[in-house]
Amino acid sequence: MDAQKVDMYLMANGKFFEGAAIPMIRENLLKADESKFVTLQTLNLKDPTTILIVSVLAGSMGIDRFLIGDTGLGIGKLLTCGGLGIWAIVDWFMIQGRTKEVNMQKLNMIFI
Amino acid sequence: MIIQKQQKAIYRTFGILSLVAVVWVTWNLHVSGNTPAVCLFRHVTGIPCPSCGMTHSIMAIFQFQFNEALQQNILGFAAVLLLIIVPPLLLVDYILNKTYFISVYNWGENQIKKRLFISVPLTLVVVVNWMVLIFRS
Repeated sequence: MDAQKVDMYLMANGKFFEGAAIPMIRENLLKADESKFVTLQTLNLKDPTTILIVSVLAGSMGIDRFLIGDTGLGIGKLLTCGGLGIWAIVDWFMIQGRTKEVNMQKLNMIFI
Repeated sequence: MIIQKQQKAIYRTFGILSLVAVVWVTWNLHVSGNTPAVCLFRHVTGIPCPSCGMTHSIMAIFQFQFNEALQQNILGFAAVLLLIIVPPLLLVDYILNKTYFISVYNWGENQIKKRLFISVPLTLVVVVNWMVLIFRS
């Protein structure tokens, strides 16, 4: 893929991934075929900040987990009232990292 | 590597949840009386959360009072079903070093994600049940 395109993509979407993973993503994108660019643009990435806001407001109902695609954990959180509130509070600190992991998994699907 | 980390997180989370749930239910079955309200959401906002009344519902199901369970919280049936399936599966996986629970978990998650005729009614049940709880309180 063209280096300029990759850099533009990373500038616009860098916040969706872990900072430490950016060089690796850049390397993989540079190696990837040009045809992958359209797929890359259509990836449904979740914004970690939005998910954090949802987690603070509706975390005890598991909405944050449902949004990032962790349906099973969402049901667990919903049925236990956010793990009696403890899990909901722990997730305020964990959910951004998990969102970035999920985004990374989606991105890795392109390279397979 | 991320998938393995996520699998460990799922085992850890459901392990802790199962342990707490089993201890909570056993304690409530043996100590009859007023169950303390432990819902953080209810304490903060003053309105019940979708799973409020679950303990009473589970207790009613264990005493075969299904009407009482329905009135308390319909999600109690789902919780009892999970209580019957999840802790034994986790125990088997722990003892035999297998991954049966993850297989069942992934299968269930995929069914809910992909099949609208499962996910839509489930969501409706949760929402309607919550509305009933709010209006009743």
